[in-house]
Amino acid sequence: MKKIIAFLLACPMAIATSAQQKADIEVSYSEISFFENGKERGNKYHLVANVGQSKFFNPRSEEIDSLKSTPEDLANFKKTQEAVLQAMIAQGAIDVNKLPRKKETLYVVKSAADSTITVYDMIGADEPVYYTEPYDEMIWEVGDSTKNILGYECIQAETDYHGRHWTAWFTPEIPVQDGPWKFHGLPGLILEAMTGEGRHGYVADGIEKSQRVITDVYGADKYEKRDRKAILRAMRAMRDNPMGHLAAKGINVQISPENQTKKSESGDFIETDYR
Amino acid sequence: MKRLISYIICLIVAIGAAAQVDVRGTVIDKEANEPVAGASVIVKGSDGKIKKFASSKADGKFAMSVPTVAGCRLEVSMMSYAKQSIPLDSVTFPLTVYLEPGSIQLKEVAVKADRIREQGDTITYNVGSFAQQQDRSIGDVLKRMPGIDVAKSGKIQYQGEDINKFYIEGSDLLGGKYGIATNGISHDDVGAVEVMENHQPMQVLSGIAFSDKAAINLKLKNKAKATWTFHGDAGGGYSWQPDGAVWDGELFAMAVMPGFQNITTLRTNNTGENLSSSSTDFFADRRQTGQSRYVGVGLPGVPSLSDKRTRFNRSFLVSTNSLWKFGRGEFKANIDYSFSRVTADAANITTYFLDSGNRVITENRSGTEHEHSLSGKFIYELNQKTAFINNTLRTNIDWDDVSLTTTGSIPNSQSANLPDYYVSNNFKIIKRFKGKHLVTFQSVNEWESLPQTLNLDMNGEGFRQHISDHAFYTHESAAYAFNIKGITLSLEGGIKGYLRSMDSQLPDIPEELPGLTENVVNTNYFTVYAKPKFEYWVRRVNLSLNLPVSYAHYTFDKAIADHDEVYFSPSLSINWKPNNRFSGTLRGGLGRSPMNLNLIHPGLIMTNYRTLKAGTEQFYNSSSQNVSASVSYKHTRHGLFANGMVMHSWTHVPYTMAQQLYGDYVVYSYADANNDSKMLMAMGNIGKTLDFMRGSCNVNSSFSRNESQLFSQSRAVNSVSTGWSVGGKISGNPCRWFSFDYRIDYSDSRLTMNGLSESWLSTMENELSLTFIPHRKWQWTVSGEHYRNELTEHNYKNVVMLDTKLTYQLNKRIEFAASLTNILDKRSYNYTTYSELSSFESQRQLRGRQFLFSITLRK
Repeated sequence: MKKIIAFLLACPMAIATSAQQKADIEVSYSEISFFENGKERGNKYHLVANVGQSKFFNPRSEEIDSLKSTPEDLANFKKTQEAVLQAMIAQGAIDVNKLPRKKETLYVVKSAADSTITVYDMIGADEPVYYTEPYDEMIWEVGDSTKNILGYECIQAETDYHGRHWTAWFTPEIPVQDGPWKFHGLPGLILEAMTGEGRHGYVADGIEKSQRVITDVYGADKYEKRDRKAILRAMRAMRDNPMGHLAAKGINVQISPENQTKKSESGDFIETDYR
Repeated sequence: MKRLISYIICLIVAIGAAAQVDVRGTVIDKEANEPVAGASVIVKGSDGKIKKFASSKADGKFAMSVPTVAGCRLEVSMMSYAKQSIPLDSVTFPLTVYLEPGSIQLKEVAVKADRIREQGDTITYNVGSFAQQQDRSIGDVLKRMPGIDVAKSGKIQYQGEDINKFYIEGSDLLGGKYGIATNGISHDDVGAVEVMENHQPMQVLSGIAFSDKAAINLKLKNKAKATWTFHGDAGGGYSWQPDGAVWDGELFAMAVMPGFQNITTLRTNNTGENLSSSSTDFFADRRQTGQSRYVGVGLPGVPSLSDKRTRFNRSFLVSTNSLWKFGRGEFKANIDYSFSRVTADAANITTYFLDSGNRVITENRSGTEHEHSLSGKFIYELNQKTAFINNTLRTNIDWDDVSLTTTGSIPNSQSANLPDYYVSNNFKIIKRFKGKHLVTFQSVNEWESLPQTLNLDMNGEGFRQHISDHAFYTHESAAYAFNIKGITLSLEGGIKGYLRSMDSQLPDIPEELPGLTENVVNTNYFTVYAKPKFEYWVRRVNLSLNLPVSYAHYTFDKAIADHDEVYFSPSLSINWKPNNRFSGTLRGGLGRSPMNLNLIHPGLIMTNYRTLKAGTEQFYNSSSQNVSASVSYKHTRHGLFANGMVMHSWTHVPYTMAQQLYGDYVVYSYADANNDSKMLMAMGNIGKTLDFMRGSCNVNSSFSRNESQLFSQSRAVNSVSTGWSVGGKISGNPCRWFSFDYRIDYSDSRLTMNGLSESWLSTMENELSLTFIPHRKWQWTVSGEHYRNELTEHNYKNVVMLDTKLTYQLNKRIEFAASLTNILDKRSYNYTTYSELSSFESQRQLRGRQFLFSITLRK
């Protein structure tokens, strides 16, 4: 009886404290990903994790999201963006990459307590969406090969996950069962995960002890819940026909035919089971 | 169909597994005796390969099946616990695995671009990424953080502005004596330094009163929390000058617990280190008793050299600071005692080249100063969103005495006793009603006694001058403020009363000196004032207008006629913060104010053996105007911080200081003449992190120009002093075995009198420190300074000082260090300057070579 009471007491406490906990470690990962034209995206992500939970995100995007978290801040941010755009127009060339904006919109939050992964992302520029999935969709086969990453002895493991075959390298020296993106569930931290002949993946390039609070995703309430595959399909459609989507919103963009990108062929998403 | 097949396969596997060994058990925290969730549990075969793995569930349980456990081991690991490895050959399941606290050693590889991060108004500096091997205290690391500046005195500035609070884990334990923390707390115990911009320490004022100051908070690592941490340092050695034994010791204890905090420190040395940075209250307001010492007997100093090279001292300091939290309030007690004894010697040799042969005049000065200070501060504070109560009782007793013997043209010996007794109580209560209305009541009472005795022995005759000076100040005020749509209107009204009496009696001095020899002065006033204030927030602009007006009645006990005065001194400030990165402030003010009442004394007072001062015989008012502009910019992701400031002020006073020589005596007095002075000041500072070598750099510059008038020998003199300086520093840790710190400061100044300019005189100081870490346990530092002081135009005095230190870390708790300072054994700072008919030689002593061996213990 006592145990039940203790358990009942512990339960809501666990939920209450799960919201803002301090991380044990912070890991930085380089994303391996290429644009349609073969150029590397060069996105960077950080993982802050403790035994019970983790967050995978881009620090700069999080900074921008924090700057936009109140209506006043958002208005200010938009003003800054406009000012930069005006300056670029005045100079005669617009480089979208130099605008203060988020390049990486992804957040992956994992919670061991409820065995779920929550993925936050954007469809296009203004449609925040999220989905959750249970922990057990990723089943690993631990192999024999080892290699050294950042001074840690790593063991190979493989999985088939959402349309791709992945090879991951984890280190039992760091007993945090987490990793980049949605990867988790190996007896040690995953420092590398790669697929598609090395055209997609994540490689760790920094590890530190951390006291950082694992904060909630800024503006989490603005994200709309959707089905995972529906989100991927919508993103695909957006990427294949960006002009059409802009036109559908009433934004008319004229691009001379020679500058128009052809329908993308390579560079499928990290998950391919949505088609 | 696919699903069905996989289901069947699963079933078969499950049945097959039944024939296997069930590795089951529970993971328990040995200390807390509670189940541990999330531990990594691995079954390793005899070849060391992973056969199966799992993690412990919320109840600490784990379960796996393996075909056989022969030769297998079970490994259980988790962050902040020591790894457990259990052979499985002869165990029975379920197993109970006890985990003991321990740390998993991480081979840390810097996570880049994240040394500084920003969330809202808070900027967080990662201490580990700024610390270098040779750093000891958190103060050493703070100096390397761009945007943060630690002055030589220990005072901290953020973006060119003094900080307004220093917290440890969110509690303000030390008040303004945060030097105790910055000098004492080991950087290894601090996880992060947080800077909170626009920090309003009184929660009740948040959203109502704007603050342009920043506060610092030290976030401790878990290992330093909820426990006592200690470290002690004991060193002994030998010094060549002063000849004899030297010591340097420190004890530091800190407890940071949820309801109680304490920092106790004890420091002593005779190695030249000045402990005042640990005992100065950087937040202390100016005492409203407004007294200052008339007697000024100073020890000779060495210009432009670092304190630690020239200080012949014995210092001792003990400080204990406690904070208790009860319910929603907290009580703090800070008690300090410090003692220092400083000696100094100097010789000046002036040679006059005369036709009849050279005439040499030697003046030797030799002095000793003792300073004792005992202070206690007791604070009760309640800091809530709807109410703020603070009562601060402060007592301070200083006993200072100086003795100085001079031989030469006017041989004499002086000794001064300069005690100071001060008590004050400050009570403040603020209450917030309905979120918009604020009522404040404040009562301040201060009392101070500043007796000064100067004993002078000259030509075998003894003189004694005694000054007694007492003051009492009381200030009662009430304020009301309310806030609508971003506009805060407040009105403060109050009364101030001030009673001061001073009397002095000059000893029998040479008759050629004119003037009264006795002072009996009372300077009292009574003031009623009102201080309306408007604060307006619109978008990202804060506008604040102060319109204080007061009526004052001055009485001087018949010596001077009573005065009734009205003062009005409006000031305006505008702060614009268009985004998180940029902030700009414009300030301006003008007004009339009463003169410094200390200057009212018709009779002469002796300052030292050859200087006398007479004050004014009347009461005057002065008027002034000032404007200033400041900007700051930061880009935390790039680790870039910059700030700049320009200020100009004009002051008009209807009296002017006059200097007159009577034989060997210098007499200062005030003449009834207008003195318009102007001051221009500008400074700038840029700091940047250098992530490629875990370092940072900083460039700063300043300019100032002061113009004022005085009378010298009955002749009006317009004096303009101009000075500018530039400085830079860079530090880095380019590879694992090497780190460095380098600093350069250059300054130039000039004095112009009545349009006649003296030449620009410069000083330059270079400081370099190199640390080599050949092995994890060994560390070797070589450091040194180079000074280049311009004595007269193009005549430079160069001094090079070299130090070295070798440290051996036996383990995490014990460290040994041996240091050799001033390796070149430079014992004097002598220079000679020439004019057409004379030469002037100055001789000063420096601390000689010094060897020190020390042991550091940590808990």
